Amino acid sequence: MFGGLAAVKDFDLAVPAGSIFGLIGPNGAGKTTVFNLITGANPASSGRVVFGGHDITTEPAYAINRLGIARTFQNVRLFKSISVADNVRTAASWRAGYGWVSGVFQGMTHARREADMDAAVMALLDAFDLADKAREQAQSLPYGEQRRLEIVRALATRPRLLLLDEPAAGLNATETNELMALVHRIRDERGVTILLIEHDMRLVMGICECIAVLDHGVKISEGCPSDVQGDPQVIAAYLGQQEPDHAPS
Amino acid sequence: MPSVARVLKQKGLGLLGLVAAVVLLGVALPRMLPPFHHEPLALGLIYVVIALGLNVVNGQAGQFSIGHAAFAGIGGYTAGAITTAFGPRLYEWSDQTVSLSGLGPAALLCAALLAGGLTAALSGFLVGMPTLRLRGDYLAIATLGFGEIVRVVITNTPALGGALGMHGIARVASFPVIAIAVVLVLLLCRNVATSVPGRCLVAVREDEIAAESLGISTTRAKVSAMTLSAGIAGLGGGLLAHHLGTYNPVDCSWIKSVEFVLMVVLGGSGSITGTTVAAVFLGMLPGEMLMLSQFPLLTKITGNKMVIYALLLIVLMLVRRQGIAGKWELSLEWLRGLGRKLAALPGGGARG
Repeated sequence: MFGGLAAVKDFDLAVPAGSIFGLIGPNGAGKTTVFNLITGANPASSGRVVFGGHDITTEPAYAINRLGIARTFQNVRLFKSISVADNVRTAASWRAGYGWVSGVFQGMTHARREADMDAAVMALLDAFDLADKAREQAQSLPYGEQRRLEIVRALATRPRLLLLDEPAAGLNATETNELMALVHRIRDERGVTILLIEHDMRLVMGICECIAVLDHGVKISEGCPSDVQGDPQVIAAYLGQQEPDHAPS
Repeated sequence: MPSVARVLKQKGLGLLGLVAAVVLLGVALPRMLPPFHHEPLALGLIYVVIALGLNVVNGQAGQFSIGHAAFAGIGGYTAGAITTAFGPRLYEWSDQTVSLSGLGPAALLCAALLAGGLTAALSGFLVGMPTLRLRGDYLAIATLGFGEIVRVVITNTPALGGALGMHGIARVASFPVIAIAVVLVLLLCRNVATSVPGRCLVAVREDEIAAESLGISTTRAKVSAMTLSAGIAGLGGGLLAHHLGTYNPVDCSWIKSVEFVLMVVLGGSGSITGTTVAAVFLGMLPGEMLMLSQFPLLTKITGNKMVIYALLLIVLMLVRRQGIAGKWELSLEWLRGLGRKLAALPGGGARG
């Protein structure tokens, strides 16, 4: 609830493990709010969010990530002034296996864990063609690579569910194609379930196995791409409805 | 996988470097400088400790504190009270003639400094706990208020010396003691910055929402940063008390805190190297300016350090907003790179 306005209401969604699931809808429909509810960025005022059998509705955002949900943001939110490698390294923090004491004294544990983490970070950057930019400042990357880095950074927390908020926004056609391949790869190679918000219909219809349509905070349709495309309610939501009574004469 | 032998070798070399740094700062440097530079240098080095403390929360974690003079004051008063209470009873400590020879007095000083740091850390934790749960500049307001409360409470407590300040603290923080503290705090800050906790602080500074979404508890990171930061400042305050032999409530005021903020901002927020350089420079400035008063034309400016500070800040904001060092750090890696570049210069090898 935002000052009495319910951005999303009576909304239910079941995302099957291992699927690529699309969440679409006109601007202001409440898609990002759904992401914020799932990840704990805006706690739900009512209802439940269940992940793998756990009720995560009231968990804080960082705990939800540790349970296996990672996300990217509509407006890329990188740690701008640090290096590409450090962005990914920071995301691997809570998995590093040491805290303040080891960090301050920097004995053998620290050396081993840091070496492990370095190797994992470089392997991840390598797998997503960012290894040669590892030492560059994150904000100096071209926009497409910043989007890719944000996905890689989310993957560094080794999630089971990855939420992508408009991953193709601002990308050109070639970059969008690469992104589609990337999303497929993440699901196939790493077994990560993917839930994505997108306005680019070519991408949504191309890779999503299942789509839910949201309008004014309410789910108006759900199904496979071809079903959703033909749904008259969906067409009405996107294009508007003819109102015969007030039709121009 | 790093082998135990390699890590041990690295740590051994690091330890040698630390000892060398202590000897250089605490013994060699004072001997090389004429005596009238000693007092400004000692102050500058103590301010390095307090400014590095502030840099943890202000520079690395990006949370604005304007109360670090108060945390230093808490550390100074606590440490001073401990040595004044136990020193004369246990050892032959009188007002001014004190020596650190012998393990006992040195241990007492260590314990007092540590207690000062811990008390300051606790107060940092208590101020940070409620305010750092919120996003925004609440910490600045809370620390500003906290600093003034500390000043007023001390001013009105006769047991602490009231408005006249605490006097008769044993002046045992000589150059070697200060040097050891500076080097240890530098090492502490460097280790924090190059490990997971430090990276979490930087993540909080860069983007709290993103940090939280990546499994970092931002509240925990901020409160830890505040606690450590206040603790280091408290240690610096203890050094200050035992160097000057006195501590004044005025030195807990927010105006003093702003001086520390200036050191961090001037040096480069988040940069340990920059903060150190700026703290030495700004710490030495008032003392060195006194020396200018022997020149007839410069007599007027000597007491007006605040004017110089303001000018420095204005020039900095116009010319180099990220501070002298920006985010840059002096490191072995950088020195090696520089060495390679120098060697590659035409004729560089022959001249050397």
